[in-house]
Amino acid sequence: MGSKTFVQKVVGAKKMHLVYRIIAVVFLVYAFTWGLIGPVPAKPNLEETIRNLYYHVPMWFGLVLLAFCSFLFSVFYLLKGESEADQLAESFALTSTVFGVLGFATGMLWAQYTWGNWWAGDVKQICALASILVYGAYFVLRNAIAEQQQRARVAAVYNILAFFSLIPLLFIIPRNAEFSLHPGGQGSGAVGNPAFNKYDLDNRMRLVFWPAIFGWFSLGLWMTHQYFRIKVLEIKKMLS
Amino acid sequence: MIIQEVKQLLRKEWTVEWRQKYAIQGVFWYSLTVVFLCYLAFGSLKPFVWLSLFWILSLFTAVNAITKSFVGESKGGMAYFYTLFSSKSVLAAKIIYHWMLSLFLSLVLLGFYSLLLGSPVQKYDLFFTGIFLGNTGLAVALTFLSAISHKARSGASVMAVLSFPVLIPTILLGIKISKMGMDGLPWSTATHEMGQLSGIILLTGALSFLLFPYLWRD
Repeated sequence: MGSKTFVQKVVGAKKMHLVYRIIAVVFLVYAFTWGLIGPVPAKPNLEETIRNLYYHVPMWFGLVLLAFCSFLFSVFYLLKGESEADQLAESFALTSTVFGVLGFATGMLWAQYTWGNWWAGDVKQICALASILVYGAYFVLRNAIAEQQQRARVAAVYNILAFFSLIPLLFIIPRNAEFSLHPGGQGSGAVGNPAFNKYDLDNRMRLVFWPAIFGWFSLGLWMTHQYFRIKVLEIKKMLS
Repeated sequence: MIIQEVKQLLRKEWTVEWRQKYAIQGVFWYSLTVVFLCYLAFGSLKPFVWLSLFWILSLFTAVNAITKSFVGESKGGMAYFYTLFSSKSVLAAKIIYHWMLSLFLSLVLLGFYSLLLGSPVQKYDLFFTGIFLGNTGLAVALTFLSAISHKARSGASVMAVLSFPVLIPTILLGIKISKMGMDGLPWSTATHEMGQLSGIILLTGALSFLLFPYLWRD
């Protein structure tokens, strides 16, 4: 086989795969069962929908972390030129987008029951949609270039730009919005930082919330790995 | 050295632009036509709608003007430049040229626009600062994005898909600053937004200079 490249070593690390698969299964089973039957604080208007916190918020954590991984592998591709790094970056971008769409969907469902509308025009909904559009453009760009190496390089360049454009969309604009229905916004009664520890979390919920975040992120890694393997097989088939 | 190169490249951009007058003329008449169309369609506008429409028009004008920037460069021409100039000075020249072009075009647009649709602006210095910063952001980001979409060789649709989402923060902050100028608010209210917009411009600029060599190399 010869010496393996860095990315091949990362992808081929069997023990690491075992760790996140176990975390994903155990934590998600726990989050699904105890998240639905466990105790939650009774908040007016939120009521039982507060349980959506276990599904909606981990999606955003997943989106940011997976987009960050995708960004790292794009940088790595530009520096080292290993084509696997590009495929891995693409896989991460895809799972990140899937998480973004799911976060958006769970958010809309929540908005329908608490704010009374699927689309409430909230600043975070707007920025979330914009960030999904940014990554949508990444896939359009990839499909627009036929030549492999050219595609990998241009896509990596755009992916780095895309990650940096997530920063104002997810961390700057929501913070200086005059009005937001999300926790931390002025519409919710509390003012200031929309960080997650200002959510109406109590200690009982934290016991589900954090495992859910790790569980979903691990599932994201798992999905990325599977998608990457499909990509590699496709390329092998194309070359043979 | 770099300044010398940038000067030469700017002269080249200007010569090419002046030789094929249709491009800049086209954008000029485009902005006149589109303002006239808006005048016919809307008649009169509320201040905030006036401002938003102005920004949307200037976004489209800027995208129109800048999209063609690298398209004009043939593959052989690019390779030729590669041997003569460093990638940094090529990018710097393009950015400076587009910056001046988009400022000029948005002033022309504003002229027509105010002439036909009136102007609710109360404090011009702050309003122009918003336009200035916003257009700087547009020019920097669009120059880099047009280099990317040039590599995709698929024309204007990819450019639009790539640029609009990335430009949302720039446009939103530009609207915010110039709205404060329009409402005649004091400068101190806008410092926060101006700082953020300048930060975004610097970040995009730094990224462009870091990443452009990778696009350039074929």
